[in-house]
Amino acid sequence: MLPLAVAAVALTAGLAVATFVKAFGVGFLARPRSPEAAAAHESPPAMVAGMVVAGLACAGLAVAPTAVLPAVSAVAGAVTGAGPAVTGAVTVELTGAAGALSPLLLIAALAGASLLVVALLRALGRARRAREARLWDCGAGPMTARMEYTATSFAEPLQRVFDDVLDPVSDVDVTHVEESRYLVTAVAYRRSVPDRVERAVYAPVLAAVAAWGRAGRRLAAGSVHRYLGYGFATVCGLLVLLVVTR
Amino acid sequence: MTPGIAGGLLQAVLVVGGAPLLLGLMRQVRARMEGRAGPGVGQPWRDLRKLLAKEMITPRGTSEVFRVAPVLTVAMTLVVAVVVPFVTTASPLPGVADMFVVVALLAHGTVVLALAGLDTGTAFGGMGASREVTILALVEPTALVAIFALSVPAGSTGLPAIVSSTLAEPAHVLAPASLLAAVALGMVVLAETGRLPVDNPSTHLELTMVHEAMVLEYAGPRLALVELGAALRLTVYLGLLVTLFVPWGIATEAHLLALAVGVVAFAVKVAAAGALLAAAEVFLAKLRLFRVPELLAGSFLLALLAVAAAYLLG
Repeated sequence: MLPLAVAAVALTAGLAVATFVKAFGVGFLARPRSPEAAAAHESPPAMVAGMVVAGLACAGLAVAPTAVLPAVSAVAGAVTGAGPAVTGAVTVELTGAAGALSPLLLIAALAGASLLVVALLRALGRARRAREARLWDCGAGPMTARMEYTATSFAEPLQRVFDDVLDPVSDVDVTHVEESRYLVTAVAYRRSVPDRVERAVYAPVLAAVAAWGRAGRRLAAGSVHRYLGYGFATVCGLLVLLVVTR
Repeated sequence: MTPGIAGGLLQAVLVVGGAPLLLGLMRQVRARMEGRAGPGVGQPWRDLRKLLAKEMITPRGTSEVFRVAPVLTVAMTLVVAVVVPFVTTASPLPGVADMFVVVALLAHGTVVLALAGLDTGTAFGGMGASREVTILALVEPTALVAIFALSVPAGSTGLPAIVSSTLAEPAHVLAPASLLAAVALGMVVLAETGRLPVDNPSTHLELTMVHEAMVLEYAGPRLALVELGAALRLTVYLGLLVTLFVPWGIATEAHLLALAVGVVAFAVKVAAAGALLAAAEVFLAKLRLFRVPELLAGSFLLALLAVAAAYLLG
């Protein structure tokens, strides 16, 4: 079972990388595609502060997990009755297996290497001011935001790989020019990935419950005569039952 | 200075100095086999020198991400070059010399470049980033599972431990788990360094570009960094492969002669692996982009079999 579990975790890790590149790349680095989005402005500082605190906490935990790990592992050790699972002040070391990880040292090494690269670049390159230039647009006029990759187009190749699992719904609308079928005025492309479990399991159950409810509503239509009829029928049924069972 | 730090610095200098030469060697092998004279082994270094002397160009509408990405890619690969036991098993940062950390660092090198490609806001940047990340998302699981298979006999995911265990028991290399993992990791190297049949490193045709589309907006010194980063990645990946599966020659003690042997052995092994790869590429055509996942699924299966073999047969 362990190899399969490892494979599942590994696949998730790969997809997580793609997810975060898409979320950050399209969410934060893309150009605005509508006037409303172009006019967007930052929230007031009080609202930003909440997110900054949460973000700093995440970053802090990632860089220095050893600040909280001893406390957590002491609690876990007390519950399971075993010794602490991890030890170490700067480097996290597993006690059961030979494994060590040091986020702090890693960050320090990365920062050092980045500084070295920048310093070498400064030393070797000619000290000239950076010049601005146009983005390459294949020589066909300025790029517009509509030519950019969207979240849908970014994920399309990966979605295509997992087509059989995801079963996406796509919808292509082609509007032709009136005179000729060979000329196109507009192409609208929509693609959504509805949840397969939701569609296959939840939807039929929900539909059955709803049908049951509609049938129940017909029983109580608000007519006093019908309610009296129900009462009469129940009493009769009860009497018949008593006669038969006695 | 401890032997670990000295060894790490030596490895960094060796990898940075040798990476463009490896690229030059591979191009030269290819050129000769195709009947061309070839520009010579030193051409990538000359290209880098030319690019470094040019002025810095910043495309309009790009943000800090675009400017920082080449530096980060090179820095991440440099850290890998320092910690992986290419020449000596004495690691300067034992907590960083973990297989998972190394693979994550190399993957992040691709991630920052993909973000830079998206940051340009051009169709090419997005296309390259999308394709590269698709390949990365499918390659990463293979790499992780193959590493796991290799870590089972050594009992650790630390690279120095794996290398020492292989050096102590050379028969491990021929175990089924190790052979399967070697093939799987070989495919990972092909996909991650953008070699044939996954990506064609010399193409600039829009339909087939993957890595080149992503870095299309770079020019001057930044392009030099991107090119150097690509060469470093190739060297580091090939180095990782030969270190894991042909570890002989790696210095296990802090001895000047042992270090010299380690340097020569590393250079010879990586050069041989690169020449072999370049020679094989002559006979290969690029796969269609949507056939690539099938190849990667095959390598994932091999990695999975390697883990199963490591548990059942090991």
